[in-house]
Amino acid sequence: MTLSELGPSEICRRLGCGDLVIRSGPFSYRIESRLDAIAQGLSLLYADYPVAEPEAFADFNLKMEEGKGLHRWWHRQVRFSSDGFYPFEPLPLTHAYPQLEWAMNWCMTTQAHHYLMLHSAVVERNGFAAVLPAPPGSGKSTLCAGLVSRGWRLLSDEVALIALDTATVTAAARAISLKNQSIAVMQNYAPEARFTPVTDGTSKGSVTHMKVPAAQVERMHERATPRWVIFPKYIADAPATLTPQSRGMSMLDLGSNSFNYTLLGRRGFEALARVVAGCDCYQFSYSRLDDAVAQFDALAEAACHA
Amino acid sequence: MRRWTFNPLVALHWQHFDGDWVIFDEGSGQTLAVDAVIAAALMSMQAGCSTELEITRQILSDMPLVDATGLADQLAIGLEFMAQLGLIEEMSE
Repeated sequence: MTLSELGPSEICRRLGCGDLVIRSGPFSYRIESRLDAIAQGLSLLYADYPVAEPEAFADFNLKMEEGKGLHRWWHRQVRFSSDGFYPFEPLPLTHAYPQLEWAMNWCMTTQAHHYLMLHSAVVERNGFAAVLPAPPGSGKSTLCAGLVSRGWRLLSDEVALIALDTATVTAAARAISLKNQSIAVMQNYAPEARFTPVTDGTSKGSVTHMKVPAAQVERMHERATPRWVIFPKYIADAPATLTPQSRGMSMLDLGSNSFNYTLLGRRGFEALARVVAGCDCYQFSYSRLDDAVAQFDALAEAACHA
Repeated sequence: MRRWTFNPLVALHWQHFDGDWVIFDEGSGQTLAVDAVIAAALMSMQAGCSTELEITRQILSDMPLVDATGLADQLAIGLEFMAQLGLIEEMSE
C-alpha cells in the first residue's frame, strides 16, 4: 500500500499517534506529528512510497512537535526528536517540513554505518551510477534535479549509500532539496515537477523539495554500479566541461566528503577503493542545465557501447 | 646515513590506480596519496631496507626507468614527510 492510498484522514490519524511508517529505499521511517505542514509535505512528496503496517519495525523514529516553551507565545516553534533525544535547537514552525527532511537525513547519516556514506548525489542510467560529490553551493542538487527530470534515475540527492561488500549504490530515493536560485531554475526547467511550498529564512536560505517521479520510486530497490565519479561545480557562463581527475586524488576527495569513512576504517577504505577503481573520475563545470545533461547523456551512451 | 623504520603501530593497506598509490594506515586511520617513488620506498622498507642508500638502490632496482638524478633528494623529502605523519620513524645510530 502506498501513502496516497491511505487517504488524507488516515495519514493524519497515523501521523498523530506515531503509526505512520514510510519505506524509502532500504529504510523505514516512523513519523509522528500533529502539524499540518508535515502531513501536507509527506502527502505530496511520499504519495507513491510504500507504507508499512503501524506495528512494523522502523529503522528510525521521528517526532515533529510544536515547541512548548515560553517562546511559543510570541514565536511558534517546531522541535524534532528521535527516540526521546532532541539533537537540535527548535526552529520556527514554518520550517517544520524542511526540518523533517533534514532530520531524516540526520537519522540516516548518524546510524546507517553498515553502508559507506558519501555526501553526494547519485543518479543512474542503464544500470550505471554517476556519483556527484560536492560541498553545499556547488550546484550538485540542481544538476541532480535536472538529470532526474531528463530521464536519469535518482538514487539520492544527498547521501550515496555504498554497500561495503559489493560497492554498489543503494537508492535512498528521497525528495531533492533545492535552495535559493535553484528553485526558480528547476521550476522553469521541469514545469511538470511537483515542489513543496518554498520556506524562506532557513539556515540554508529559501528551500523547497522536489518530488521524485513515481516511476523512479517504483525502482528504488534497484541498486546500481558506480561508473563515474564527477565533482560538479556551477560556474556562471561556463561551458559544460568534463576534466579528467586522477583516481588517487578522487579517492581522497571522496573520503573527505564522506559521513563515516574514518569510522569504518579499513572496510571503508576497501569499499571506497572499489568504487573508484570502477569509475572514470572528472571535475565538471557547467552553467546551463541542458548542456550538462547532454554531457551526461554522452557519457551514458559511451558506457553502453564500451 | 639516516635509517628509517615503520612506526610499530602502522598497518598499511594499498590501492594502486594507474600511476597513483593510495595508502590507508589502519593504525591511525590516515589515508594519503603518494607517488610511485614514495610508494616504492615504503614497500622497500616493508621488505627490510632501512638506510636511505638501501632504499634508493631498491627503488632503482624495482623501477629502472626512474630518473636517478635527484632521487636521493626526492626520497629524503618524501621520507621526512612520512615521518611527520607518524608513519615512519628515524632510527637512532
